Amino acid sequence: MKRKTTFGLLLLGFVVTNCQKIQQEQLHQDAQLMASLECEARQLKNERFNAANEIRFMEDSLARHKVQLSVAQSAKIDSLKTSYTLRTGQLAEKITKKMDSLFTATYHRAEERQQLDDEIEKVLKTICH
Amino acid sequence: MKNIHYLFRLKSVFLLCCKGFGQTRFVYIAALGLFLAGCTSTIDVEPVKPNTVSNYSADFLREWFSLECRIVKETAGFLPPQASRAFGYVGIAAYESVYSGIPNASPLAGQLNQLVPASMPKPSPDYIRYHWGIVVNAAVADMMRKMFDKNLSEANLKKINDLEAQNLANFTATINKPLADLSEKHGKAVSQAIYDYSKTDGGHESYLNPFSKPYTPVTGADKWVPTDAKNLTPLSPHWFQCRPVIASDMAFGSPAKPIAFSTDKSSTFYKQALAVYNQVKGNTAEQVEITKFWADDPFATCTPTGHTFNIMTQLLEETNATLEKAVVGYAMLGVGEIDAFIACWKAKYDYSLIRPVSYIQKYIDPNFQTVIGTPAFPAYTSGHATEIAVGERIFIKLFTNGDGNYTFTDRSQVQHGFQPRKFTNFSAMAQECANSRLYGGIHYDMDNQNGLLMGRGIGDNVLKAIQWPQSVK
Repeated sequence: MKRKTTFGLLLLGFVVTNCQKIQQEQLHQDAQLMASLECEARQLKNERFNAANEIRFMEDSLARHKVQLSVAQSAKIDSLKTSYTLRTGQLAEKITKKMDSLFTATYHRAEERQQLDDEIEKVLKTICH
Repeated sequence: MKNIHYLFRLKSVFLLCCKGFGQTRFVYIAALGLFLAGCTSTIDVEPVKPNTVSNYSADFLREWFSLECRIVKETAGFLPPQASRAFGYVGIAAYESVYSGIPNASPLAGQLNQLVPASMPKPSPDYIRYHWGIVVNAAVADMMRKMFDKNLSEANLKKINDLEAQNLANFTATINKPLADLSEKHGKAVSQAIYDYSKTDGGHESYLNPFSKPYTPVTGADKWVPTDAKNLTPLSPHWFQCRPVIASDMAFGSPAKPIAFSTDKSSTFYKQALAVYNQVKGNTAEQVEITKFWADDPFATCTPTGHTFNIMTQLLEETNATLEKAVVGYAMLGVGEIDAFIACWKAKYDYSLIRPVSYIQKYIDPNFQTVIGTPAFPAYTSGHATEIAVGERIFIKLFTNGDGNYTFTDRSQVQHGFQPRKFTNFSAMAQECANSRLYGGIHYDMDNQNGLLMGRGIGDNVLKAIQWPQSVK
């Protein structure tokens, strides 16, 4: 009887440990996937802000010299903005869909989502510079 | 209930077997009994669930608002005031299309400024059987097409049509066609009525000329001057003439006069400007990040209103809110956001106050640069502060017991390359948003603090002036 109980407990322990391992692996895999998307978004964000600043400083300097933007300059700025808007929109949609699907399938509770956030941030620190 | 029914059937089969049949026969008869039980309809014992909006999932509606965010980003002419209007009327249409499926709910018609009940379609006598999902789906899809209308790209029109069709297909799988058609018809009729109402508010098709050109800005030492070479006139200078959704909101939308303009170094005004200058010079890395997080930044986001709607979407999802709470939440926020922008734009053009960047470059440091670009309209009061404070009041009402405490992580900007931000209180969240404009060098502190006061007043009035359904799930 004692032997059976010990065996049962061992089996239970094995199952629990294995489940945790799987969960940990799943968490890591999900974090890797999200981090690669988020890294792309962070790089694009920096590009966007840099481009916005370049445009702003160029416009400032024109304004200081009381020079108006030419039609060509204006068109170039608009086209740059459109390109960033589309790129950002496409990536944003991908990220939102992925995040929503992970939340629906696996990360239901606030603490689980927080755990995923933390794991993503950890991965981002290693892959996103 | 169904299981109990099956058990009774099995029991009778068993008793029959005990009366002298052999074991093999018993197995056959038991199998036959089970088969028959499976084939027989048991609808008669199922209690009828009332067909209320709270029995429907809000998943599809949240998806609609996510799509609206994307369309705002990609559609020309949807700058902050125009975006507030587009989000707002979609929220209003969603609620108005289904209020009759919410116990004890009142229509917005008769409560909103100039929206008369007679202008609204009456639900058919069959309305208690409407599929509320189909009703909202039709109302929202139709309203989205109408709000973006002439500037809506083919690709985005297709996205709207596809999402509408996909939701409809999911819903119609569970009900009969005539009822689905009736539900859809009602949703579209409400959308048409709300659209007709919106057409007379003064902001109709303003996306075609958001700067209301030609316009000659007022001039003076304390007055707004262009802050970039592209926009020599300010954004939507006549927006304050738009009809507020709740007339009394404007009483809360009249801030105190701004601090008197002065270039005297000992003046309070100069000190306000100097505080902006010192803040920008001494910003920490986190303050720069906060500036960008709330900026709803260049070319990429769906404006401050869209950000606040995204937060609403997230809160609804994480609290498992039903369609009932979702339509109420989006309508409350929609009404508040429209009025916030009208009130704020009134203050902006009543005073037409010079932006910090222009003042600082002229009187403090000609080489001063802000963290991000200054938008092309006057300073006082801050649009960000005003609109987020509306959100604050509505979130407090819907998601807390009144104290504003709610631990959440704003992940709405992750898609745009930002780290999520954590908050434990909605007021703290609103304060951070308002402060972000000081860190960015975009606003004086008085713009932010008085903007928050205006927004909170408007938000509270939205909750008070309209009879919203209580205890929504």
